[in-house]
Amino acid sequence: MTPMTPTAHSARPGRSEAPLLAATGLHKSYGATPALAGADFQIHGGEIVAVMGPSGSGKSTLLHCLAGIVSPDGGTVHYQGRELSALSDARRSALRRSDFGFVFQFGQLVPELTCLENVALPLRLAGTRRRDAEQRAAEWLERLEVADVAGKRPGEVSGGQGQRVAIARALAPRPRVVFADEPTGALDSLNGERAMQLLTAAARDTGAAVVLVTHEVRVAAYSDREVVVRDGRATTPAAAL
Amino acid sequence: MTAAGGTLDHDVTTAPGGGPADGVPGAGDRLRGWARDLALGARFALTGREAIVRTLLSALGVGLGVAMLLLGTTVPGLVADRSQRGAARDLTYYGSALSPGPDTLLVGEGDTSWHGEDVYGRLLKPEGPAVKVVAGLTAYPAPGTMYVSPALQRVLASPQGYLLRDRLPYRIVGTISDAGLLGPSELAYYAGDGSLRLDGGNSSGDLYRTNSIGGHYVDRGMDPVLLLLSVVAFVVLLLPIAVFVATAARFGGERRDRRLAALRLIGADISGTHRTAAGESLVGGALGVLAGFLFFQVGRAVIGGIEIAGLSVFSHDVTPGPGMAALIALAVPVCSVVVTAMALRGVAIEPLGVVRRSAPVRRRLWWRLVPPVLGVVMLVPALQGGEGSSNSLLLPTGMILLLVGVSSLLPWLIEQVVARMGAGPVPIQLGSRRLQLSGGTAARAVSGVTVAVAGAIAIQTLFAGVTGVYTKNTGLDPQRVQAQLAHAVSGSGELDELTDRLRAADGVLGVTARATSTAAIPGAPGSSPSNWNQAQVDVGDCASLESVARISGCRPGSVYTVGVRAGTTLDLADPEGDGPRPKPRLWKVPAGAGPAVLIGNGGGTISDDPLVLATPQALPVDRINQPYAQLQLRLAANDPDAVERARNAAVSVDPTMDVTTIESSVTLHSFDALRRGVIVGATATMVLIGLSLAIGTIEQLRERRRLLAVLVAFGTRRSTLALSVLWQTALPMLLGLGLALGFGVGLGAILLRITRSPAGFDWTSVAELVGAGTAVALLATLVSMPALWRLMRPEGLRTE
Amino acid sequence: MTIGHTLLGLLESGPRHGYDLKRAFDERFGQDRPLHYGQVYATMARLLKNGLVEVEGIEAGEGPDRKRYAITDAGVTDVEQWLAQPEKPEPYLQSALYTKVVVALLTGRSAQDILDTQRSEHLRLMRELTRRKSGGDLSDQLICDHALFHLEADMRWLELTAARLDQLAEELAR
Ligand SMILES: Nc1ncnc2c1ncn2[C@@H]1O[C@H](COP(=O)(O)OP(=O)(O)OP(=O)(O)O)[C@@H](O)[C@H]1O
Ligand SMILES: [Mg+2]
Repeated sequence: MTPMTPTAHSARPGRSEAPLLAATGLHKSYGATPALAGADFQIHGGEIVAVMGPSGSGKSTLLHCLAGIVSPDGGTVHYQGRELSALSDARRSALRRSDFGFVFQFGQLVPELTCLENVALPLRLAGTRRRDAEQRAAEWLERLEVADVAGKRPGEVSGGQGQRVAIARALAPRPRVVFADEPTGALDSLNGERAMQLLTAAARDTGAAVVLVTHEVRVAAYSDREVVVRDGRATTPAAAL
Repeated sequence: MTAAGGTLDHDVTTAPGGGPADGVPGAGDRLRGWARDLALGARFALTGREAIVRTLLSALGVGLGVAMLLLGTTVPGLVADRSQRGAARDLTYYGSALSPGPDTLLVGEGDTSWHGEDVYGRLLKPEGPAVKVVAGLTAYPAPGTMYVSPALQRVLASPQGYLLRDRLPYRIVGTISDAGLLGPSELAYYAGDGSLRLDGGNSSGDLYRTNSIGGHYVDRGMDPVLLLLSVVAFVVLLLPIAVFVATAARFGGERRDRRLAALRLIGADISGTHRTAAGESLVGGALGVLAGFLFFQVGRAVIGGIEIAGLSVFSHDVTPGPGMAALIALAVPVCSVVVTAMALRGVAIEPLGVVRRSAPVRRRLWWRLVPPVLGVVMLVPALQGGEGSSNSLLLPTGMILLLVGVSSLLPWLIEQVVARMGAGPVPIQLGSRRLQLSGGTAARAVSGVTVAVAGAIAIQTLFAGVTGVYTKNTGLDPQRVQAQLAHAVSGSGELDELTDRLRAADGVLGVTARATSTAAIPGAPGSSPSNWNQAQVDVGDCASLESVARISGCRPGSVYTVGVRAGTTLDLADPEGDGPRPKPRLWKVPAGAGPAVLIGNGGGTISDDPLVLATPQALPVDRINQPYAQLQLRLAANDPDAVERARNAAVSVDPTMDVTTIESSVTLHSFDALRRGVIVGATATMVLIGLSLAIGTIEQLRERRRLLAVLVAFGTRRSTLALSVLWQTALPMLLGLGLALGFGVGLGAILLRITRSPAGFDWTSVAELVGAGTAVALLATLVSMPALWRLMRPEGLRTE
Repeated sequence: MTIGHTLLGLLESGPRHGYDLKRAFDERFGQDRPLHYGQVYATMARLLKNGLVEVEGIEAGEGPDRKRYAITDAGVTDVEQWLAQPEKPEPYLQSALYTKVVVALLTGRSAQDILDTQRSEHLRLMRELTRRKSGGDLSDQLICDHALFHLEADMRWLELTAARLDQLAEELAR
């Protein structure tokens, strides 16, 4: 694939560095269905990359492989130079707790927990004490302009508020990579835009890289560059660079 | 619109049921619609593996309930049949003395025991040709032959039965038919004995003349304590099943509600969806009734082979009244529909999903306290009246209410406890929060276990207390004496022979023998003998006297008294009783008679009368009136046949003699059977409920598939989620068990008071039951673990 | 042309000088293309001729034009009519992109490459507009969104076409 070249965009960490997360030649099939057929992908620290492509092209599968949720049938994923598939399941889980954050399309908040507790959950899973975790969670809710829903359960807040809570939850542990799979899929365009603004702003502030799976172009426009997945292969359009 | 002008429109629009204005559907249409709704529900109940499992589980629960109910309805008939049989073979004669005639029969009571089991035996000698044949026999056995019950025949034929064969040295000429037996496993024989002889007209307890064959059997009835125990056991086993049936009807409620919502979306009306739901639970109910009758048939066959409470029952006696059976077959499915209707009451099934109207209502305490308080109030009369009032309906009702109180209080308790939680580590937070939202479901599932454990603890407590009473009642120290024999003897010759033969028996380590009798203390000259005081007279060697009283310096020739002054003159020919007044046989208590203090109750036979203890050298046995032998035996501890040999020895002297063991009374055996029955029943119930708990958990997990996958993506450890599931199951279970412990012990204490038993708790049994409950919770969690593992996979991230 | 109507609309709130009008226009609508003064002058002359505005007074001073314009009743009616009349939807039937794709297919070149290149170009512009939107005020956002939605529509077309390239090639070959 085409090597990375700096975009026109402002101060990004130097591109001469090795990528933060890199996948080469990923293959993954579900039964007879090939979901990935030799996909390559790279992302550097602090970069926001949109993953686009038609439905069923393998975007989500790529994201799951990158995050170490799914083991690819072939190919490798390197995170900070370490190969993910060489790690045990427990180590990969630990990595996801400490270094990765996730935002999905819907149904991701624990319905019994309050929004505040939901945001605090990954922090607590990583071993932070409850008091500290909830304080940080409150700060993040504030930052995503949903401090008022802290005490409510997910069932009692709107979709847009819930999605912001989910973004707060993904960012609260200060991950190095945020994986977002159709984060605005269930939102109207105004709410979707606001959520994207808050997500990208917060990611830039904390220096987190974002892998943004979407088929909405206007959401992809929040990225620094895009990768198109077609038939299980990822391409970085040369003209965009 | 004026009232007059609008009548027609008015009537149409407000027609009952709000039927459409364009014609009310005919009754046939409506019926067909109903049938269609019900059939649709039935299809739901039977399509899909989960649905089938759920339906089968409901059916199993309902079936067990139905079987228990059917069994319950047979009890009155059972008791009646038994007493009828008892009456048909009763030989007791209650009139003034008979003289031999063509229709008289001499009866010797040959009852004995065989390794703890009663053997009903009668030695018979018809005195004329016109004696009616007793039920179960076709003819009276000729001297030296006997008829035996099938069970006794089996024992006699078995290799271990040789001792009993020696004891019953009669030739078997036939078997006693069922009409002459109380139960299929009853050991019984009728032997012809030509040597029976009744001197004069007087009958003794063991030998009497009768012409009343199959007459007035006075049913001793069940021991009231045993009856109480049975009632408790029945309630304890039945109630959790009732609770389970109620829970089973609500299985998979959320899924069902969603399915019904889908029905609404395609245009079904509310009552139609309710009918569909009813159809769904009706299938479980109906299958349950079928299963119930099946279980009952199986149970009936099994019951024919076992003994409960020392009683065995003929399978053909275990027959429910047809009316009752029909009632049960109808009422149980109706109940399952009613429970479903109740469950749906708080739910508005809207086309777009399900709205639960009654979700976050805070539970109130006061009405939950009503059943247990009412229960205690209903137990009060029994508490005051003692065991005699245990027959009244109040007692079981009170118990049921008290136990129902456990399940009515549990949801409230869980809510209270859980509301204060959620701060702990992540698994506990997750589990507690889940309970906060849907504690009711958990409580419902657990309440069955809770009721079972509470009831079982109560019954165990009662068993422990009652068992204590029954061993203490004999008043003998089983360490010192293991068996006894009490029987009338003709004189010192027979007493000595009896003593010698018993001493000679293998495994008998020692025998002490006394002969007891009563004597009169003549009052002022000319006074009526019937007003004279009585004294008991015991004659025996020093060792036997020392076994009943503390005396000092006993030598042959010594005499001791309690409440009789030395020098008093006694009339040994007890002048009381019927017949001509016997010639007085006076005997003077020697001046040197010492004082005695009775030990315990002195062997259980000594009354409050004044007492004279004499060695035979001071007062020969042959001088006392109608000597009654009291023998106490020490037996080799590890030889279960010792007592059987002693019995043989006694029977060889007189076939109506029997040796009874002291520490193992028959009643205790029956307690043990009941006790085990309760434990087995409670455990079975708990396993059943544990299964439903596991299914509920799995269902819940499956509904949360996506969430679980998201949590995995976040790097959540499996153990964290497993622990949260455990907590979610274990907390209600622990609270339930705690409540059960409190209520069980409380109810047990009340029952102990009712039976006037000393308080004594069988803590090992309690621990066993609580342990079983905990194990069920753990097991339910464990069973749901594979599902959790399977569901914690990234596939769940895919949107359905 | 809508500039005349826009200027009339601005005059409705009160009489203004020509220079004021230009400033007010630029402030609200001229982000990309500020008006030339000459344009204002020519437009006002036309409006005056049509009786839609009148000159309220001429002040002494240094500026090139010190006429104060005021809107006439006819002018108000004209604004009203303009606002009430819907804009004619653009039919977009003449598409250079479509032409390029067909030519590429006919000449055996890669149409996919053309689409991909266009796609990247569109996205680049969209990114820029998005960035501008994020920094700007509400009017910036609305204007950028208008452009973004149009570009998004193009993107959809690009995607759809990419998915049907084979079909198109077949049809052309017939
Ligand atoms: N767990 C699975 N089992 C079977 N097939 C799967 C599974 N996951 C993905 N697939 C298949 O793999 C292919 C790629 O799926 P994937 O979810 O990655 O697509 P996508 O690009 O995310 O689509 P969308 O935009 O609709 O979310 C599809 O054909 C899908 O059917
Ligand atoms: Mg996807």
